[in-house]
This record gives sequence, structure tokens and C-alpha cells, in this order.
Amino acid sequence: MVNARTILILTVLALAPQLRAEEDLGEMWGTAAEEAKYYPIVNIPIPAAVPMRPGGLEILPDGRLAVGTRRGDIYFVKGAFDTPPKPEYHLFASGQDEIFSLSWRDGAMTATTWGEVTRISDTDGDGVADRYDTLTNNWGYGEYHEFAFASKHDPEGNIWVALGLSSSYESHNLFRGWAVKVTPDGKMIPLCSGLRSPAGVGPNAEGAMFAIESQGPWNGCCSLKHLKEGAFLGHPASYNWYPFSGMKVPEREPMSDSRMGIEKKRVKELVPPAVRFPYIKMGRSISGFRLNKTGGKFGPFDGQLFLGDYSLSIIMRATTEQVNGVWQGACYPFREGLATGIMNVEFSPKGQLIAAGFTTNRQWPVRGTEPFALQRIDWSGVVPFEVKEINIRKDGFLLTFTKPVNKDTAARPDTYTITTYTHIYQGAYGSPEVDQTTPRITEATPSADGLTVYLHLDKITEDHIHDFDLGKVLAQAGQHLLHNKAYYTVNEIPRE
Amino acid sequence: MKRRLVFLTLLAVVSARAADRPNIIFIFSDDHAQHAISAYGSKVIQTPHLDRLAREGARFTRSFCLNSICTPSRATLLTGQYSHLNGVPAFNRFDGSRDHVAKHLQAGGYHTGIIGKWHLGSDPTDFDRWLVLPGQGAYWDPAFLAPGRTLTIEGHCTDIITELGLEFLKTRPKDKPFFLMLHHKAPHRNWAPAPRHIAMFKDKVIPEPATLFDDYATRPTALPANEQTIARDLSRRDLKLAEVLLRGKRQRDYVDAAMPQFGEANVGHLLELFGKVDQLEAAVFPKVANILESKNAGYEMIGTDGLSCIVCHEFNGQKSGEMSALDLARVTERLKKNWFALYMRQPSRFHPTVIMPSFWPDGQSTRPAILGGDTAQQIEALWSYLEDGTRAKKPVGLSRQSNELRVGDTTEICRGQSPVGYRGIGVGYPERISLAFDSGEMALRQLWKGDFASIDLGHFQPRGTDAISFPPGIPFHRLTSLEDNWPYKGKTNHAFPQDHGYQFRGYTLDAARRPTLLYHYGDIAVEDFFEDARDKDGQAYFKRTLRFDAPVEQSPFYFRAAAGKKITATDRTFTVDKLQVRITSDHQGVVREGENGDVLIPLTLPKGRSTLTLEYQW
Repeated sequence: MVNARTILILTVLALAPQLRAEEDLGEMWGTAAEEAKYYPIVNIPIPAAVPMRPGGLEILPDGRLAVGTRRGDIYFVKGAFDTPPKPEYHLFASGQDEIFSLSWRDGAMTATTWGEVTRISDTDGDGVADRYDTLTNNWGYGEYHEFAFASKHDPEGNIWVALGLSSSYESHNLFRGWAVKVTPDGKMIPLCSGLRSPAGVGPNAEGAMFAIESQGPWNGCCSLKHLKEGAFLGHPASYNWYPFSGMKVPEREPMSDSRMGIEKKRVKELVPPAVRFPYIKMGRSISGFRLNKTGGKFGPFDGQLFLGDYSLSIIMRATTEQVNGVWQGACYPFREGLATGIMNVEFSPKGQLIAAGFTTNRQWPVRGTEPFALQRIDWSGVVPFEVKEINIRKDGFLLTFTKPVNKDTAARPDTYTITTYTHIYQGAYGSPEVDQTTPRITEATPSADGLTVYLHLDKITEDHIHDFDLGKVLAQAGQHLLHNKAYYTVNEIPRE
Repeated sequence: MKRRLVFLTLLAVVSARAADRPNIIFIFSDDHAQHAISAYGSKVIQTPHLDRLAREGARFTRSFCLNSICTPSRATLLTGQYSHLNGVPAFNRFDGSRDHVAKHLQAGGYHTGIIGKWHLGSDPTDFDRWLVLPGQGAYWDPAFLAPGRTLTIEGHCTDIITELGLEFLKTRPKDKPFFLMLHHKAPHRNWAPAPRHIAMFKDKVIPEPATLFDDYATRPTALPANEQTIARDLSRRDLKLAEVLLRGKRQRDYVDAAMPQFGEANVGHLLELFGKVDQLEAAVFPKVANILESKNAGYEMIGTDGLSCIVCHEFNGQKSGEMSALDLARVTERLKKNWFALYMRQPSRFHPTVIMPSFWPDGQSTRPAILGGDTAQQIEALWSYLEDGTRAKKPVGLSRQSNELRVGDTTEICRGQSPVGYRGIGVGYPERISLAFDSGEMALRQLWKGDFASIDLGHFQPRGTDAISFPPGIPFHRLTSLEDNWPYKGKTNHAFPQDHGYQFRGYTLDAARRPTLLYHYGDIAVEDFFEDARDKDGQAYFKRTLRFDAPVEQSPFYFRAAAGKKITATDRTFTVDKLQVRITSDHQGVVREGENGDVLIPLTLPKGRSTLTLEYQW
């Protein structure tokens, strides 16, 4: 018996790591087949001779796609947006460190690599870069995991760079864990501290700049963080660079095993994440994101952020709004089943969403199995029935749908289920979801056109994610939502 | 304990004529370890003639033998069948009535011969001429079996077999193609070299292999059961290793280990003679009016906008398609121009099943737009372009997948984590010299020769040889006293070197894609340019030009040109170990001696532009 039991235990132990890995990537939403009717995925072929591990994406003024790669090349791709794609790859620049961000402005490509921001230009007009101007390399770079991700040029021509911590946990080199702004003449201005392992950087529709943050210490899950000048964004390892920043050191440090809602009142510089993405349900390693300014070419989601996830090979949406001077908002499932780990996304002039990335043989598991891919999500022209956006109100939420709802079901409070939870704000890695509440929906009021529903709640909980289950909502035409879920992060409750 | 490798090395030589029925010599050496041939990486044994075969012919790197031991191995060679099919699974008799290679070639009109080691129990069949050793044969004064008789020849077996082979070539019927299997007994045990080779390794220290005391823990389970081991089976007469291993004697007697080397010497004159036995007709080469135009046409044809040669052929080690046919950058090194010109016109003439198509069917070019469609000019253009070898301009469509970054006719750059820091810039120049620069501290950190660099995502690693390293640190500084230390970053100076007035500003590329590195030292704009050059002896070296642009006259500061423990100076040439730094502008250097010695060049810059020039040779 003892032997049999021992064998059983050994078997369980042997299986455990595998089960764990599967859990890590979670279950798929299960919506891929339905999503494909509205948003088909198109593969953009890559020739065998091209070492393509896409990192940064940009659209050139002549309409070509630009791809910056981990090999340190920049390719200009003609025909990537044709149907079917007929890509022709032209090598514009080479020999750089790994490129994760690209931005074109005034006849030059600005690439951000691990160690610097470089303005790359072709001065003799032969189509190949011959000038590599380093705008800055003044942040510390000397350890593994010290990533640097950057925005496009802001209206003043600045590049915003989010600098990951050293070896992912500490800050050993100058400004690791900070966001900095690099001016067109190469001045580096430190902006805010407290980042952990940020990825994509970019503005929302109102022009406020955000960075995507990864789950880890002081971060219960991935989140979208507002890069507010002078802010502390949650991870205190980067406090040591205040003396180099020209800013005053915050008087307090956050306490571990607390809540963001409590600590933001103690540490006045602390700005809470604007949108939290519940772990696995909504991404595991969110990477690049981009504001949809296609003017309807990509369907009904203009002005929203589209975010790629590396581990889960998915695309999500997010919306933001400012309440009491603080940014917050919601995230929504959008598309799953991409071919590889998504590192970056970009909108084409035709309103297609380019999603590109790679897998690695290092520790990160990825759902998509292709070693690298350049893909495109096209809009079929058919509007899916989706919750388009959720906005907070003083006593509830306003849900906006892409198509009119069936008013009978929409008017019944029991059509909706909302639960709330938050994370432990702690120095340990990640957090379980804690402090669950279930607010009561006291009233559900559809608008006359059926496009919005006003949900009145008995209680909105500050610092909580409000997790919406909308599975019972029906469209006027009778169909169910393409995605049932949405997650709204409440930092502030409107006073009016 | 070390298992003994039983390994056969097979060498096939196909004659230069190689029309529809090529002449064939098959050279066999018995129990010859792959690592006893320098073409396969032997560091001890040098085999220049075998290496020449490998270099000018084909070197097999993924071949397997069907059976690796003695008699069964030769049966697999003759039949091309596994041992369970050819009837010789052990040391038993080969049935000569079976199908085998000589039978087919003889039927096809070949004059066939086998000379040397046979040891297959039966007499050879289907060989027009045969002279084989009985059984294992003897190293000295061996007996040979011939049809119906036995003869004994004085001398060393390897020399005799070679002589018999030469005689076969000279006396063969000239109206037939031939097939000769020249089977050496050497270097099979018991290793008795000819007198001229006995003391070959007398003064040479041969390191013990790393696996000498391998405990088989990580090896396949069959290996420990191997019956032949150095400790158990090799006799005193063999290697005397048992005494080293079991009785603690230190010195191994290497005299008897010279076998693989001496077999080598018997290949050289065979090759010469073989080259003379048949000749191709002479191709007619056209007159080239404009060599640049010709090379450029060759460049166009090789790439994917032309004949797409690189889709099947490697080019300078880069594979662009699924196949890896002969590396085009080595064509002119490995082929004779006459053969190339004839082959290109009709590849199928040389091998009926060749995959390569003819681009000049019936002598007509399929690309009339190139060089007026002139067949001879086009083939000549391919050759003249390929003559640039690894320095030829990289063809259109060439794959960039390789992790080895190779330099062609223009400079290559790679950046990232490297032995010179996380902000390293590696630059490989066409003269086959390279440098690594740290863009964090604006410092030249390494020079090397030969191959450029291995690259990986965000990383590079210098390759090549003759590396010269420079210590980390900034190039310029205003030392208050020559006694002061040159500043360095250290662990806590996080603002270094910006706190010393430095700012890296990138680089520009010239037409040959050589970078001019740009940085600021205080208000001085610095342009730092390295140029690869060759001296009159053909040695590559760097010329370095530092151009300064100062908005105001500068107070004196130093440039650190080199550093090291032992520095010697002659006029304005400074020698640090293997490196020579020469100042070629109107500046003087100061040597600081000691453990942290260096060469400092005092600079007093005027307002406006000024220049410092140096040369680095090593």
C-alpha cells in the first residue's frame, strides 16, 4: 500500500508542473470562431531570408508599414495592407540593438532600443539609412530585463520612454523604473517614478500619456498607468533616483500588504492605475497598445485603446475617462487566437489593426505557437453586438452598446451581474483578488434608442474592479453579446 | 577508461573530366578516426593532401557508415547494403556472386581494380585487376594475393599499396574509364610506421583527451559494454597506455601513434597523377572590356533579381533557401575556371541527374538583357564577380538569418550587450579587421582580426583572432596632475560619464558604410572615424581620425590612446604588448608607467576645428 501511495504521489508531483503551466495561460474566452465573422485575422507572409522578430511598428507617410526587429533591423514593407497581402520587404536600417518602438516624424525614424533613443535618417536619398543620431542614452543600462519602451512623438515632438526595473525586481541603474521624456533636441526629462516592467507607451484620445504595466511586486495584475508628471506609480524600488531627477523625494513610501485605496491617501504622489486587467481573464503580459483613430474604418470602437498581450496572443480594448482629476476606465475582450506572442500593434491607413510579435525559448509560455508573425486584423464591415463602453456615474454605470438592445431584458436588473474585488497592494509578487462584494442593481434604464443602459447600484466601491457579466443581455434583433465580460476600475466616484 | 573508436574514413575522388562516365578512385584507410584528419579538426595530425581533397572537393559532414568494423564494413562498401542484407554480419566470407559496385561498373564498360586490404574471405570478383592482402596483411614485406598466385613485396605496406595504385593508373587501358579501389591497411592496429615516420611526434606534447577518464555516466548504455578499451585491450606493443593508466607511469610513448599521419603522405602524388590522366577541352574566354561592368553583371545574375543562384547555393555561409549547394563565395577557390566555363554551359554533361538547370541552353542566354545576351561574357561575368570571394558585394535576396554576421564589400555594424558592455557597437570592416566601441563611455574597447561577430537578439560576440583589449573609461579628461588616476565609473557613480561632460550622439555612415562616431566632450563636438587600411606588407590596420570642433579655445586636457602594464615608446610610436599605436598628426604622447600605465596625448584645442590622427597596428 505504501508503495502504491508513494507512486501515486510521485505521479501527481510529476504532473504538477505541467498542470501549472497550463493554468498559467488560463482558458481561452472561447469566442474566436464568432470573432472571426467580424474581425478576420490575415497573415502577412515573411520571406525566409528576412530575420523577422517584430518589436516596433509604424506607418510611413507613403503608406508603407515599418517594422523594427529584435535583430536591430528596420524593414519597410510595401503591400502589407493589400488583400491578400503582397508584402515586399526593404531593409531601411540595420545593426541596432533590439527595437521595441518606432515613430516616424519629419523625415526620420525614431527607434527606441534597450539603451537609447535613436533618430535614424537617410540623408542621401538612396533609401537606406546613413545617419543614426542618438537623442539620448542617459539612462542606466547594464542588466538583464532593463527594457525600454517608447511612445510615438507627442504633439511637441517628444518621445516618452518607460524604463523597466533591473532584473525585473530592483533598480540598480539610473532611472530604472522611471518614465522619462526625450525632447527633439535630445534632452532627457525625468517624469515619474514607480514603474515595474512597463511595455507599451501611448496616449489616449484626450492626449494623456499612459504606459502598460506588468503584474508583479506592487502590482496585483497588469494595468494601464497614467504617466502623470511628478507621480509615483506604485513600485518604490525607483525612489533612489529622485536626487538625480530634480524632484523632491516623496515624504512617504507605500506600506506593503495594504490597499491602493489606502496608500494613495498616505502617499500623495501615488497615482493609482487607470485600468486594471484582471490576471489571465484579461491578459497576462500586456505589451504594445494603440489608440484607434481610424474614423470608423475599424468598426464601432473609435477613440479606444487596443492592446496586445504577449502570453495569451490576444487583443483587448480599453476606454478611459477622467473622474475628479484621476484617470480610470474599463477593459473588454476583443480578439483571441493570434499566431504568436503579440509585442506590438498599429493601425494601418486602411483601418486594419497590425499585430506582430514572436515567441521565445526563454521562460515565457505563449499561446500562439508561431516563432514569429506579422498579422492583420481586418474589420469585415459587419458590426458585432458588443458593449462598446462603460462609463461611471455618481450612482452607477452607463453601458453603451454597439447595437440597440432588447429593451425588455435590458430594463430588468437581474439581467446583469456585477461583482467587485480589488488586489492586495504588496511587495510580494502579484495578488489574489480580495475584498469581494456584490452590489445590488437597483434599476436598469435603457435609452430610447436602445443604445445605452443606465445601471443604478446600491453601492459603488472605490479602489475596486467592477466585474460585469452581461451574458443575459440581448440585442433588439435577439442575439447575444459577442463578449459577455467587461471590467471597470473605480479609482474615483463622480461627485455629481 | 576510454573506448576505442572504430571508424572508417572514406575518400572518393571523382576525376576532373567527369563526363557521363567519370573516372573513380576510392581511397580507403582502415580504422581511421575522423578526428585524425585535420580537415575534420585534428589538432595533432596534419593531413594537407587529404585537406586539399576536402577543400577542392566535398567534405562530408553528415555521413554515416553502415557498419564500422573491418570485414563487415568493406562488405557494406561493396554492396551499399546493411550487414543483415549483404550476408556479412560478422567476419564471414563475402559471396562474390552478389551484386556489388565493381560488378555494375565493369558491366558498364569500366576497367576495375582493387589493391590492398580486402579481408572478405573470398577472392575478389568482377575486378579486372586485383592484388589484395591475405587476411589482415602485414605491415612489413607483405604478401599479396593475385589471381592464381601469391607474391611478396619488400617494403612498408602503405608505400607498396600506393605504388601499386600508381602502376594501375599508368598501365590501365586508355580507352576505358576506370574504377580503382585503393585500400590501405593503415592505420589499423598494430600501428607499425615506416622508419621515416617513427619519430614524428617525438618532441610533440599531445594532450590527453578530455574523455580519457569518462565514467560513461552520460553515455548510451551500450558503450560501457564495449569490449575494446585502452586499459583492458591495448597491449604494450600497441600504445603502452595500460602502464600509464594502471601502473601510474607518466609518459606515454607516442612513437607508435604516428600511423594516421604517415598514410597521408601517400595520397599527394596520387592526386597529381590522377589530375593528369584525363583532360577537358579548353574553354574559350572572352575579352572583357570593362571589368566593373562585368562584375556588376555577375552580381545581378547571382541574386534573386537574376538567375537566383543563391536560392540553391550558399553565399559566404548564408543559406537563402532550403538547399545548401556549394558556397558561391568559394567557387573560384574550389573550381578550375575552365571546368566552370564548360559546366555552366551544360551541367547535365557532367552529371546526368544534376539539379542545376542550364541558363544557356544550346549556348543561348536566357537573360538577353544582360551584357547583350552574350553567353561567354555572362559566364565570364559570373566568374569575375565571384572572384571577389567573401568580399564580393552581397547579392540581392541574400538571407540575413545567420547568427554569424559576415562582412562583404562594406562595413557591418552590430550593437548591444557584448564583452565591451551593454551599449557596445561592433564594427567589422572589409579589410577583415574589426573594432568594438562602448557608446556608454565613448571608448574604443577592442580590436580584432578575421571573422567579425556572432550576433543574437540584442547581443554580439566578437569572433576572429588576435584580439586587443582596451580598458573601460572615457577618452578625454582634464587631469590636474599626471599622478592622478584616470577616472572610471565604479559601482556608485550612476551619472558617469555625463557628469564628466560626455554625451554620445550616434554616428553617420560613409559610402562604404563606415561609421563616424559622434559625441560631445563638454562643448567640444568630436567626430571619431576609423578607416581600415593595408600596409605595404599586406597587413591590415586602422587609421583613426579624431576631429574636434570647439566653440572657444580649450584649456589643456589629455586623450588616453592606450593602456597597459608595459609600454615602450619610440618617437611617436607606442607599443603595448602586441599593439602599436602611432601618432601621425603633430602631437606628442606621454607614457605613464606602472600597473595602470597608459599613453596620454596632451591636447590644447584652438577655437574651431582641429584634428588628431593615429594608427593602430597589431
